[in-house]
Amino acid sequence: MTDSDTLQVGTTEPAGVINTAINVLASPSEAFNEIAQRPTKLFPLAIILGSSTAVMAWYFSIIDYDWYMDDALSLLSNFSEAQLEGTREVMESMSQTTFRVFGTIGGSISLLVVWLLQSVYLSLASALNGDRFKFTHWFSLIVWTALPYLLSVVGMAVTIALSPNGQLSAYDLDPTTLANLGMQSSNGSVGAVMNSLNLTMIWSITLTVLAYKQWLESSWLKAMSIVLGPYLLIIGVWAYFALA
Amino acid sequence: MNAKKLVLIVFIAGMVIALPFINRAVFGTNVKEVNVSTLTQRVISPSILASGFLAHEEEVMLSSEVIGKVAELFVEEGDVVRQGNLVLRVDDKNFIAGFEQSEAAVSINTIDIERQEVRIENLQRQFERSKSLYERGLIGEEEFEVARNQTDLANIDLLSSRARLAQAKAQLDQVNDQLSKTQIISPIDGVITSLDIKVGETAIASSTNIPGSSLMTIANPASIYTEVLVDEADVATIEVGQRAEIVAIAYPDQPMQGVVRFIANTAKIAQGRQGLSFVVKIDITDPGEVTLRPGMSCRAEIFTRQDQEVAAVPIQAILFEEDRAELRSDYFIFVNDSGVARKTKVEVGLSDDEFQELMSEIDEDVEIVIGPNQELRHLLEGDRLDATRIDD
Repeated sequence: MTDSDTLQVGTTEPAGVINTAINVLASPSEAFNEIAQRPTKLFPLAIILGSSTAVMAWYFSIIDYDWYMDDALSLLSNFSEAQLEGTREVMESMSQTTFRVFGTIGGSISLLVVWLLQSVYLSLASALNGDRFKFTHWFSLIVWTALPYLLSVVGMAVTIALSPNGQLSAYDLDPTTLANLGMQSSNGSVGAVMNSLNLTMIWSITLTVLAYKQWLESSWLKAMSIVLGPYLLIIGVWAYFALA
Repeated sequence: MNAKKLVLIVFIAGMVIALPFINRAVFGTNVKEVNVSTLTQRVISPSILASGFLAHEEEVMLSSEVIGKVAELFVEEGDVVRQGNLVLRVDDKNFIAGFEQSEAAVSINTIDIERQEVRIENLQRQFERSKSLYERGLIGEEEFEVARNQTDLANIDLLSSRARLAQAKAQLDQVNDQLSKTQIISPIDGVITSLDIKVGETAIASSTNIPGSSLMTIANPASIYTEVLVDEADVATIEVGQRAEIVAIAYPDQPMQGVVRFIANTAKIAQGRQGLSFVVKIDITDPGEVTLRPGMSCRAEIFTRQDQEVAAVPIQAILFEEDRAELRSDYFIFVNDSGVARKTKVEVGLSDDEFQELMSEIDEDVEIVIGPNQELRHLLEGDRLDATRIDD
């Protein structure tokens, strides 16, 4: 890899990005080489955020608003009556349109923010190690390795299609979450982790570890330590508060 | 090579698409856990709620008709008194002095009359003698007229003295009445509920609410009742003799039993209320363990119909739908049709806090969804049910 490789970003052809997309899912090693040579971002960004926004828009267009509020509040098991009432008042103070707009774009914005944070973190790690990869490479890698999320989006669309009455919990939306795959827990915090983790996220993280190892020719231990560090930290803090 | 990759991706996508179906098949999603019950015969007691306070029907506020310092107080707050008992004495020295003065005036006037009468007798005899002498020509007419005038004047003086005596007696009666008013007597059998004056303070004869004008309040504890304000929209359903349950704020878990005794003819705007209200008095027939104190805030539930058994369901099982555009409103229940929710239109009748009468014909073995509320309020026709039978 040379610095001149990165200059090809603007000249990437559509067939190239589709090939990269296929490789990310089916032949990651080839995809990582292509991303290192051409750290494109627009295609995966557009396809992931576009499809995510579309499916969430569909979800919030069919949802039974009153039922959704009750369902969301019933999941706040550690809230007192007063806190639940306060939360309900806040939710009811929002118009349905506002609520739907926030719900629709909120997920996509969250994804973007998480990707940016991951990219900044890996860029800083690279800078500390003296690696040649810059923010643009890492951001491109993070966005490309998030491509399996499209499968979650497809699963969400199928789930919505199977729920015509609008009474579909946000937690039941994604069929690839660990909770929806049967790994449910009566512990509220553990249950929340199971609802948050899904197969496509694990797939994406695994791809990021593989890419790190391949790009920097590092050991498994180092690749996993660097990539999984923030996740382990978050899960550790979560577990601490869950067990406290 | 690319074809193999595409096949792999399509396979994975196919697995993901199949996941929601597998999930439903394995975990049986969309089944709602509900409680069901059959139609039961229940006593429905429709009622209205009203708030008010406890008061004494027989209550007197004593005040003094004379001005004077309180010399003696014979009761304390809470004491039981009988009708005619002396409860307070106002200092009566001045009134006794006035009484003695008036008595002396009566005596003086009585003596004066006696003196006048003696004098008249004397003058009358003189007049008789003068008349005899005059008829025999022994004295002149002038001398005779003088004797007659003196007798007449003496009679007039006697009349005047008698009038003065009457005046003195009237004054004596007045002073005696004032003196008697220094003795404050209980007009009823009862309990001293409020004692507003102490020995040494000045009792003031006044109808205005100034210190000293009110001496004490005596109430008959047996005459305690509940006075509530009923909204004009509800008053038409209230009748004398209806049963009521009264809850004093101080005893929220100890309802008392009562009976409506009086409904005001005229509405009034009560303090703190915008609409018109009617005063309704409720006699307390069974206070239970409650220590009744006048002035206590309370609320009363007045049962507006005679208790009667009807086919009823818990009130939360009844769902109401309104279509304002078509000016249509309907009541529904959900019944459990072999694990599937079926929305059924019903006619409803009486209701109380917990149950609603069903006027529609519903078979006794039909399971009606009665809760929980968070499931019931979002239940839809055709929803799959995991029903738990709740029987009384």
